[in-house]
Amino acid sequence: MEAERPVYHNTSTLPVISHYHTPMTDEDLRAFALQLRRDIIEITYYSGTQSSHVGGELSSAEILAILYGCFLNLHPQEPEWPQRDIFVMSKGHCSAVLYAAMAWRGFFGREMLWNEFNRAGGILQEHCSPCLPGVEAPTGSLGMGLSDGAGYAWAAKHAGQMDRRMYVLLGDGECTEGQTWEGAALCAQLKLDNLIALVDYNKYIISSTTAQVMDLEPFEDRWRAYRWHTQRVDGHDVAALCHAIELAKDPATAPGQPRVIICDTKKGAGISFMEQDAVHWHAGHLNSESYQRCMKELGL
Amino acid sequence: MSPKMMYGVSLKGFRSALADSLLAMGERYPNMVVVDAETGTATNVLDFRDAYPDRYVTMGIAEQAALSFAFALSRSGLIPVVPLFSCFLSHRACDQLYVQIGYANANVKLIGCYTGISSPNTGATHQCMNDIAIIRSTPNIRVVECADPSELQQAIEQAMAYVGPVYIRMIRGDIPKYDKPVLPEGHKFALDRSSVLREGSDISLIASGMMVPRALEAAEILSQEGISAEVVNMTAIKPVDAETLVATAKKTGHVVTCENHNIFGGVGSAVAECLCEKCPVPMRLVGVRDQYGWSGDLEDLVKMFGLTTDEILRNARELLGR
Repeated sequence: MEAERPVYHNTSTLPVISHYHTPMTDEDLRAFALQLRRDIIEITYYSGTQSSHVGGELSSAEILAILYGCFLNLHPQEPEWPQRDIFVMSKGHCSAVLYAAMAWRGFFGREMLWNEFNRAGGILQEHCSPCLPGVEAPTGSLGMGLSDGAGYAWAAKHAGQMDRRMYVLLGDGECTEGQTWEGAALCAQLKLDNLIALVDYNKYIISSTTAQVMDLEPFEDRWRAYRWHTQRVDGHDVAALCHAIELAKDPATAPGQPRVIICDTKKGAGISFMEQDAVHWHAGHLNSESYQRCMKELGL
Repeated sequence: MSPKMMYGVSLKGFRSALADSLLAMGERYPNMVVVDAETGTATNVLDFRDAYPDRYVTMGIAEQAALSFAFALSRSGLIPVVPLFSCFLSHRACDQLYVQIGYANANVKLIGCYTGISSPNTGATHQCMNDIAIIRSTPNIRVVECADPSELQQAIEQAMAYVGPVYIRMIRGDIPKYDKPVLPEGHKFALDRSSVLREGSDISLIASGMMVPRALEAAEILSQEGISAEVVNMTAIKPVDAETLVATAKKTGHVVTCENHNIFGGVGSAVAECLCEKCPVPMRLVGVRDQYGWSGDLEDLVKMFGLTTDEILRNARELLGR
């Protein structure tokens, strides 16, 4: 019996500026990141609650663009393909950017982005849900992703799948969770050099700056002390990010050590009034006026 | 050969059954992995580590990481078995249990050791009185408890064959009088069935785990008083075996539940939830009455917490007006 098709009401009228293709030039990746930012704003605006955790979604646009554009070896038509790379969105509040990237890769149709997010019965949950094929872990309760990544990475090594890579995106806020450091110790102890953690270090936790609330510095030293190969890059510079991931992927780089790339980013990146008031825009509602302002800043 | 010892205590009974089961299942399932968080010495799973070192992973004392790690293994074609002290499994890692095992419907086998007051030399932090309440209220996870070591072995075998999360509740050990096989030869365990161990017509004693031998003993004493008690071994705690519960309640019209757990949210609650909709009858609940644990001699503790044959008898007589 054919499943009942949902009837969709909302439709984006904006032009699509980026399509999946390979290889991606730096120019292509910047266009994809812009596409993701426009999608984040639209998903938020069209959602059942007219809201999302928009600040952290925007800060990770380049990171998602590079992973889904260049690095993740996936078969969207076969989400459980056993040889796939794994991406765990540990900062599970930032699901809109993930859903947009997944739609871009062909996991599902783009129309779902405008019709299924934060709606009763909609499959696109505010926090990453295991119900959606291609989402590798239920997250949103923070701090769990690194332990998930460790499980995936250990299982891949156990199966002798040496070409697979596990990517985990952490927020700096969730680096104040105890389990993040349980996971960090575990990855090092199990010598999981097939795991690459990226930290979207946008310097804000919910109520204030991370430095004021629970300072993570010296952040690089912390990871090094946990025996991780550590890099730090501008998280909005696609060329620098690509270079760092290439290095982290190489088995000859620090054999036996898990890898972390600390990405310096801006919360709300790309939307000036969000960047200037990042605390207010941790999670935010968009009305038609603020939606128009966002889109204008995103070149429309 | 003398039984294996740890800290001067024999590891026979439940813990020996756990070790044997894991070894047998490890041989049958090449994709089985044991995930430990440094309770393996006490729970007796290190034989598995020694037999299958490449399929045993310890997290250090990090239960939260253990459950998240196990979730990811289950998504990678492996069958993780996680034997932990039930308190740390259900309390410390409650969020991971809820989000990454239950919500994810992960094919992970959780074994809760040291439940209720069964680890006398530990006390409140280790004697888990509300694991059933926590896990029973987490959608997707099956909850079973076993009355003796042979039933535990069957439960592990069936949990491995079942696809989905299962929580198996076991005790560390009982006082010598009851620390022995209590189920008849040829007893068959099923994940979704509870079993009638003794037929009766006046009152139903519905017991789980270490309370089963006490319920059987109470039934014997009641028979000498002319009271015919039916004894149900309530292995299927979630989902409950409603058919068996309703049948026994209909037959006897009186129910006493007996559990090594807080009566709030445990076996008695599960029975009451079922019967109040399908066959309401007068009930009494024997179990821990909303208390924390205590360290001490087990013989003294079972009396202190009212987990005794006498307490079952008192409630049964009261319910029947005798």
